Amino acid sequence: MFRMKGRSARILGLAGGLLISIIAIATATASTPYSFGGHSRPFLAVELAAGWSLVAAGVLAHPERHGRQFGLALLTAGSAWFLVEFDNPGASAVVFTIGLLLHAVCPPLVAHALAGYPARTPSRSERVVLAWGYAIAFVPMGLLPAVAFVPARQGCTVCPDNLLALRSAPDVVWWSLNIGSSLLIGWALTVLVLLGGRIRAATVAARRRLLPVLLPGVVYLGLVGAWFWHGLGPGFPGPDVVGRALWLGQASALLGVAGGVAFDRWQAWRVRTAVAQLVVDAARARPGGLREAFADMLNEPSLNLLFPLADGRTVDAHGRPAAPEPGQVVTGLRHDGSVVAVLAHRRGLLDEPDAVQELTTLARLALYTERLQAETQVKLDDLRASRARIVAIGDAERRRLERDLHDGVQQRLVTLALSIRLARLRASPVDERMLAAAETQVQATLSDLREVAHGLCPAVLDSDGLAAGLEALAERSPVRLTVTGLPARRLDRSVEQAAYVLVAETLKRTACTEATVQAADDGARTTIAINTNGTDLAATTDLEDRVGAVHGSLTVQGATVRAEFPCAS
Amino acid sequence: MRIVIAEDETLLREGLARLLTEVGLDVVGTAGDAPGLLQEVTKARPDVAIVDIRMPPTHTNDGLRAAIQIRERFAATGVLVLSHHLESRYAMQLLEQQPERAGYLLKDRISDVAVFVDALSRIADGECVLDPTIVARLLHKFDAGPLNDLTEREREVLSLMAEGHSNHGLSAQLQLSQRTVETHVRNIFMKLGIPESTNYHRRVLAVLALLRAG
Repeated sequence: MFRMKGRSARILGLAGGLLISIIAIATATASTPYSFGGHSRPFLAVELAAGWSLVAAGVLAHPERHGRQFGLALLTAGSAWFLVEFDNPGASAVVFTIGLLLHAVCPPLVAHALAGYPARTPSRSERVVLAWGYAIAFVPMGLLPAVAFVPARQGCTVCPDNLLALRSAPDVVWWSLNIGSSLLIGWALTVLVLLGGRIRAATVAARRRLLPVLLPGVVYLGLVGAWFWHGLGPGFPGPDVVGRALWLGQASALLGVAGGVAFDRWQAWRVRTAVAQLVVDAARARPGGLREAFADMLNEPSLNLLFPLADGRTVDAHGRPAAPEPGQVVTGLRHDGSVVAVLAHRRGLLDEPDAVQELTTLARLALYTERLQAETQVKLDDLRASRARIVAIGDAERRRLERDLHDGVQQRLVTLALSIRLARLRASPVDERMLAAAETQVQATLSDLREVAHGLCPAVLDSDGLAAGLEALAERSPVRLTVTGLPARRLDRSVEQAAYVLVAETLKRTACTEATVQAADDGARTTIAINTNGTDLAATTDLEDRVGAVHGSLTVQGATVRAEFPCAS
Repeated sequence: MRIVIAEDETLLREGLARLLTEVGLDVVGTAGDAPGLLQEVTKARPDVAIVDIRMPPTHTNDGLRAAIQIRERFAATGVLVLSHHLESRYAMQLLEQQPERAGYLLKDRISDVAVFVDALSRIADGECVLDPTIVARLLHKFDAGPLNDLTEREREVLSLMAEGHSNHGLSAQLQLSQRTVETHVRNIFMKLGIPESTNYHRRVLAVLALLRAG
């Protein structure tokens, strides 16, 4: 409903603006010596351009992006710009009277528009200042001199009738206009200070939007002040050289305001098309693409797109844990009441809730796609980490068992063997034989136990690393094993363990007699290639799991096995 | 012969001390960890220190490190490292740094009094001793390098040499004449490329060649 009302108001404003501008041009050309725009064709063109561009900017202004009052105020200001031509001798009585009443309303209307830009509600004091501006324009500059001005009696013989004139009072006209002009100068300065303060207080990012519109607005109000200052004395600025120059300046400044609005609309359009492109690209988007697109679009390279997960973690598009950088603030991109993603950015970049909502609405599909990718990656990483932990716990347990066997059982058996030996020293020949048999049993048990402990986890693998572990393997196994290229440095324990198991199992399963292990290590990854002369290696799922648990990969071709392990940084 | 024993398991330590005393050796000190061992050796200056490879404080191979330190600081004291591990690596670490007056035996060996005491006395004489089981495993694995060139008999001689037997012991064990044994030993040195020098040293080098081949 409101939109309809807004649209009809704009159509009405547009039609009114056209009508007023036509009357103004007609009047101006009919009153060449008294008019500003009527001075020459270029002046007329400038006059038309300034007014119409403001009207056009008012129509173009987006109610949500620029504020509901902004468009209408700008549209009206565009029409009011022409009213300065109405109180010229070439006008009809009605037009002349309207001109007398309303010739000074353009500046308050422009100030009104600027106060509501972009999509903000003017503060209480700002509203008081605006009302004060309208009051000056209507009363001491409009109504009061109008009722006391009878043109024929006060020296304007070429002027049409003033329909509002009650009685001729030149003093009232003079005082009223001069006091009104002085008040208007003071008012313009006040508005200047207020606008300047807003520009100063704005963040860098917000200033990027404010300046294109507010800066020409400030220039305009400054020139308005100077123009009325120039008019003090007669009470209104005359069409002399200085007056015309100041008037031309005002026209240019208003063109600037309209240009600023157009620029802002263009920026908004650019963002929309960029986001629309994102939606199109969503299907083939790669992780992180959306962050880059947002950063590009908002012209902030340090921008970060983060996804808060249900378990409280925050990750980036790759599923890696991430957090806003120091000094960054976060803005939630919400949809259906939940935060789909958050943008971490400089303070003030996304101050308007409407802009954030627009961004979310347009990029929703792409956002959900990236969020889903990130979540999937996180789950995958969690699973991998869990698998690695399970394997690591198993390995640690084997090492502990190996140690316990050495330090406990084996130690006791050695002590037992020693006790038997001591007993044998004093035993009778019969007992001696029995004890000797017992000792042999204990020795055999010790030997078995050593094999069991070694099978659990070779001590050298744990204490001296993979090269030592494989050396021990070569010593034990009947296979002729050649190992080359192993790095001198220790690898990650879990990688060493996995590589050892891989080699040991490959030798066992291929039933080979000869094998080579070629290792390569470039600091970032360790590759182990095992070649054997045995049978093909079948059923390698458990080995793939073992290697995969430490984030490695395994490829098997016949009796050749190749594993790649990433190095822990 | 004066002996210091370092072993963290009390029962085993005391049992070993009693056994060695029974066979006529002089146990002049015992210790339960590596720092204690170094103290005892400094105090008593024994002929041989018997060291458990795995001891406090870290329970990894503190004993091995302590043994190497003893050999560095006390030239007249030999060390015998007792281990649970068959891998030649630890033996190599010891013998490569301190090839003389040093030995590496499996712990099970201590109940085999004759072998054990024999090893102790050979270490005290300045030789190096390697556990027969380890030697056997290494010889079994030769299929590369200069050790390949050795004859069956020469391998036998080398393995006994590695266990610390003198030429005299060899001739008794293999029932060969002293001269034949000397010929074998010379051939082994030649095939392994070990240059002429004092006898003990060459024997140690031969053992190291054996260890390295593993």
